[in-house]
Amino acid sequence: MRGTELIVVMCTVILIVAVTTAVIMGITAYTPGPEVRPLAKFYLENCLNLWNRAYWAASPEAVCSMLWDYRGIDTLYETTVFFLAIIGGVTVFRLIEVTPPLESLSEKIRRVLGLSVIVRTISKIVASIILIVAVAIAAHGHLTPGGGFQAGAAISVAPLMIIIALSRYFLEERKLTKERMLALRTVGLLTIWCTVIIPLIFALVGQVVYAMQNQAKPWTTFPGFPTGQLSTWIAGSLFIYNMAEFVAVGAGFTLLFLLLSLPEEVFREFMRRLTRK
Amino acid sequence: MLVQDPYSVLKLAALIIGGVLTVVGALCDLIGAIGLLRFPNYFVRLHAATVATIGGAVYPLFGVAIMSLACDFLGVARWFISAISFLTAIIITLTAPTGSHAVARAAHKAGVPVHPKACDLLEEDRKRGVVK
Repeated sequence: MRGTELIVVMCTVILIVAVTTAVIMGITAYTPGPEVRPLAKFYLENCLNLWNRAYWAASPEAVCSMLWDYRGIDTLYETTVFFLAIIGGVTVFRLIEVTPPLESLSEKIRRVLGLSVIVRTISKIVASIILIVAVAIAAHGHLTPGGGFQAGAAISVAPLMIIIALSRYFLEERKLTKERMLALRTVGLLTIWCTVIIPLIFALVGQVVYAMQNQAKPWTTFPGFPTGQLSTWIAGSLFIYNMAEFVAVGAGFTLLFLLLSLPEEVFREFMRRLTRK
Repeated sequence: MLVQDPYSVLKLAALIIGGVLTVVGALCDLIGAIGLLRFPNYFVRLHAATVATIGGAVYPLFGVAIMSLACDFLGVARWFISAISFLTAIIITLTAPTGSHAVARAAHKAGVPVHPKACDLLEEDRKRGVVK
C-alpha cells in the first residue's frame, strides 16, 4: 500500500515537472503574443466596416459575425451535431411510450407536489425572470456578447428549476411535453437550414451567390439579408440564426431534463409489462 | 463648487448613506463568518451563512446603487451601475432566503440533529400531524 502511494506521488511529480517544462519551453503549442494577429485584425476591421462593405457582416459583435458568417458552416454543422447528440439521448429512452400517470393522481396531491410553498412561489418569479433574460440574450446576440447557444442554455435553467421545485407535472399540465420539445427543436434546426439555403434559391435564377451568404459582396449579385440599418439593427441573417439556435438549444435541453426527470416507478412498470409480454 | 451644483447636498447625503450601507454589509459579513465558525449546530450555522449572504451582499449593493448616482466622474455609466446593483440586490433578496429555507427544510426532514435545542416548533407540528 505504501509502495503504491509512493509510485503515484512520484508519477504525479514527474508529470507536473514535465508539463511545466514543456509549457515554459513553448513545445506544446504556439503561444500568442500580446499584439493583435492579422486574422483578428481582419475580423475587427471588417465586421462592421460601414465604409468598405466588401467583407462586412453588418454586426458590431465580432464573435457573433465569425460564428454565423465568416466561419458559419462550422457552426451550422456544430448545431447539427448537437441535435444528433440530443437524439442519442432520446434514443436511450425510446422504450418510454407511456406518459407518467398524471390522471391517476388526484388534484389535491398534484397541488402539493414539489417543495414548500415559499420555494414554489419564488421559483415561479425567478423562472419568469430567467425567461426574459434568455430572450434578451438571444435577441441581442448580434449586438452584445451572448447569442443563441448561451440564451438556450440560460432558458433551459428555468424548466430544470421548475422540475425540482414544482415537479414535472407543472410542466406537463402546461403542455410542455417531450413530444412538443422534440418538435420545437426540429423547427429551430429547420429554420437554420432554410436560412442557409435561401441564397441558393437565388442561384437557381442565375444569380451569383454563396451558400450561407449574409451580406451582399461586390462580386456576387445576391442582395443580402436586410441589415435593419435605418430602423432596428438586426444584422441580416445573424438575428435569424441566433433566434433559431435559441429555440433549438433551449428545447433540446428541456427535452433532456424532462426525460431525466421521469419517475423511476413509471420506468419499472413499463419494463415489467415488457418482460411479461 | 457648492454654489455651482444645486444637488451637492443630495450627492453628499447619497455618498454618506451608501458608505454606511457598505460598512454595515462588511460588518454583517464579519458576523456571519464568526457565526459560521462558532455556532453549535447545523441550523444556526445556516442562519449565520444567510446573515452573511443577505446582509453582506444586499446592503453593499444598495449602497453602491445609491453611491454611484452621486459619482459624476462615471458619466453615463453611473445609471447602469446603479440600476444593475439595485436589480441584483432585489434578486438576491428573493433567492437567498428561499435557498436557505429549502436547505434547512430538507435537512430537518432528513433528521439532522438539532442538538442544543431551545425549541423546535416544526418537530412539534410534525408530531401533532399538522405538518407532513
